[in-house]
Amino acid sequence: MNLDRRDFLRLSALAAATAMVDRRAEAAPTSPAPAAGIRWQKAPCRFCGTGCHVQVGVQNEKVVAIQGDPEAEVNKGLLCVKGYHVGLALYGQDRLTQPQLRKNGKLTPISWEEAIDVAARRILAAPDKFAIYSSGQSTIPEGYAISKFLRGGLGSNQTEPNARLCMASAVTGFLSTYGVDEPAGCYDDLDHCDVLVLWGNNMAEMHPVLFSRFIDRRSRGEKPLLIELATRRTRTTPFADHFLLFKPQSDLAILNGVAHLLLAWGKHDAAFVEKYCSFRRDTEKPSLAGQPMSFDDYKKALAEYTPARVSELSGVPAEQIELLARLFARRDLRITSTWCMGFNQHTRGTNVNRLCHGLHLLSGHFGRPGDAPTSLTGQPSACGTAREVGTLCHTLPGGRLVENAEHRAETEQIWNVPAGRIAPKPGYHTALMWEKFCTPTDKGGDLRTMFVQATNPGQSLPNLHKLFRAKKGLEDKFLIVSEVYPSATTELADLVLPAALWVEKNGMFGNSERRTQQWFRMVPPPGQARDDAWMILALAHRLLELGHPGMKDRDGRFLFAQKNEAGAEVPVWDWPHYYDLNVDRALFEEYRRFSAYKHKNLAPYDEYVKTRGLRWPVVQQPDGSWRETKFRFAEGDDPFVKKGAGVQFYHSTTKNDRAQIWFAPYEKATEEPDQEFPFWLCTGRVLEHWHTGTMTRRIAPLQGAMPSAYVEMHRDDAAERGLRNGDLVALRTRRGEVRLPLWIDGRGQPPRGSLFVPFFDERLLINELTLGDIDPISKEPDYKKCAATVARVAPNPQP
Amino acid sequence: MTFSGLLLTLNSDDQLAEAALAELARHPAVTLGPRRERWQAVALEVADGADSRAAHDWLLALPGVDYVDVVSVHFEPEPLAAPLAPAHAA
Repeated sequence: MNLDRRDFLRLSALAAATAMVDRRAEAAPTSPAPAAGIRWQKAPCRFCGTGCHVQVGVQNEKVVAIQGDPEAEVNKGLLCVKGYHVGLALYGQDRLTQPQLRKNGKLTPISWEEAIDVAARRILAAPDKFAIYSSGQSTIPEGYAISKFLRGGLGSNQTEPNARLCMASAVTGFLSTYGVDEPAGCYDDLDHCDVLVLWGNNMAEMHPVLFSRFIDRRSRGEKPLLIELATRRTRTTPFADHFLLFKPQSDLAILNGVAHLLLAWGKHDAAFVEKYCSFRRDTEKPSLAGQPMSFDDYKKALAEYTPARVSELSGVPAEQIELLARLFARRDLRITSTWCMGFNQHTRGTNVNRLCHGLHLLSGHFGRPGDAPTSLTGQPSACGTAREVGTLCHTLPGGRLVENAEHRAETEQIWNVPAGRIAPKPGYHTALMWEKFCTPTDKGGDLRTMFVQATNPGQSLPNLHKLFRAKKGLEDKFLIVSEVYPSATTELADLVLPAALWVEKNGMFGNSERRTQQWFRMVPPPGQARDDAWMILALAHRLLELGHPGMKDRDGRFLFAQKNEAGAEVPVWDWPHYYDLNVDRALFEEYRRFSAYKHKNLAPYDEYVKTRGLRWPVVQQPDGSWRETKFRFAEGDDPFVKKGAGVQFYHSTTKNDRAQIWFAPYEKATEEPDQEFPFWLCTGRVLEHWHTGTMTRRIAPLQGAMPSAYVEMHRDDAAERGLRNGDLVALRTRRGEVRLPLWIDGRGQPPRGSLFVPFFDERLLINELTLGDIDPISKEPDYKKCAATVARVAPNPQP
Repeated sequence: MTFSGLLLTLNSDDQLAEAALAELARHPAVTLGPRRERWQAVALEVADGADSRAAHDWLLALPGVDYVDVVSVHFEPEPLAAPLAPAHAA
């Protein structure tokens, strides 16, 4: 059969769609895709934390097509609007292709040799005043290289990932409840639950493929119930069976109210609680460990959270609170809770996470498929890299802690570095790190050189004037930025390093459901762009050449020395030789040795090559195969639960296999609306753009669909102020002002007294206005609540 | 040109679903593939991203179509309608 190119592309598209129809109808596949000219390979999507797999079509060293991967368990062949355009992220017209150094105020092209030398000499001059700020988009090997370079090489813990801004409260919630991070459940819960509760989680826009996976059950005749709790109506709301609109911050009260009713009705799962749980509350100064409390004290503490009181605090009618409690009271139902930034970016983020876990434990909705509290991540490897590898300032690989002498010794042993190399004191958390960098040296700003990889803090940090833009004019501060496109961060950079992106390099991610994923390099990066991991290795080697003693191990070998299969050393720090062996594989195999400590066991690299990812713990079976785990702590699936235990929290903080049910009170937000600033301001994301829009704003169909930021407002609030749809308004908080168009009854609909602005638009930096107050335990900032005011911008006078 | 493979979930009302399929069959950008139960395969051929979105919206608005899932996209990079200009451009 002769096909012209157009016919071929049309039939390819039809074949992919037909394969999905067959899969949905559970029929045998009938139409294999025509093969010609395009080479297809698997990769996880570059964007969010869902971890969809795509098939990447490559022709003439260029990505030309994207298909949902029908073999992927996560997305089962489907993608969202961002996912099927992900290939275009590589081809924006302004890709950074050459290193640039700021000379006389202007970024000027330089060679890679000079760039690495400049950076290395900055570090060598003051290693203790150097920090790396990386990302939940850094790959697992990249994160591991950063951790080893800093902690094992420089003896410093000044490393933070941007995941501090999005997932830190989920981490502290998991740690203080179960003693170990990350969800017990997985996406399979969405297929098995009778009730899905979305706690401030606009899943239709933020995790559309997961939402589609759940909603699709309705088209099969199933009737799973969807309960949405939110502070505004979104694209998720029309699908909800019950919508509970609550006042910002009052999620704490609602969770307590539901727990109170379960106890008042005698409908909590007494047997589950008796067997598997203890009770806990905070110490006077909030802490991860807290202090024990009795069941009776727990019950007393909850007594004030009557439906009437919770309704008063939250604005949710008492009947709706009772409805939610009646669902949790039923043991015949399976209930899955999900949440994301609504809980996490919260000045009481740790507590609200704790309360949600506690509600599931108290009601026994835990440990069966479909019965689980599961946090969702926003970045593709916030879990795999930031949380598991440990690029946070207080963590070592595999869940170990900087402050624990045994953990440091074990790490030094694996890295073969001298005892005492790893510093015992954690570095600065993100907000403090940037404050120290942006404060003049003579006023206590003791960080002088920052290296940013794979993130855009110039747009994503809160209170940008204080935490980022204050760097401008500080002559002794030096900002190194590895990026793929010019951004709000490169704008203040002193040295810009062009980075390879996604399938221009090898990589590994870890998604929201503990799934570790792998892909190979498929196309060359443009110009002189290079891999982030190579940059770390090259810096380390240059420091070795300059005489830094930390870049050698105990045997005098380079910290990142690699040998090929023949036993010959490969100079992987030298770019032409970087791909002479698979550096990702080498780094991952070393990192994998850390993974068993917290029972997050990983399989060998080559097992991930064969699959669309595996959920840890992954353990080898007697027949040599590797088995993943869907449901942690549950007998029958989790290999580390003792036979007969049923459920076993084997990392219990109280060392007795029990999880902790926390009490935490409702507390007011740190900044609330008042006469001068009468509105709540909430910020967030939109379907078409991913985070700060650095990639998606270069993709014409996405940028065309959502070209600029806006402020959502209730129509009655607008009418009171004489404002109309599309009016340009000045949005002001105590930290600054941004001018942007008003959108009434648009994508989302906030209630009266509330505003919403997305943060993807680099031209309208909403984070110049956000608060920057942090959770006392997780140190994660609150982007969802501050006080604001709006006024019409006077039109220009007619000429 | 942009070519997309789409998975349509049709309405459970057969009459509505059939009416939607008849509309689809008349549309010049649409090639219909096989239908199984409530799921219909479609290939969509349009000039660019803007047309693709318009077609997507039209499909979603058809009374016999409940959901539209995109399965594959073959694309060529397009220039942006307006250049990007950072707020704080140096």
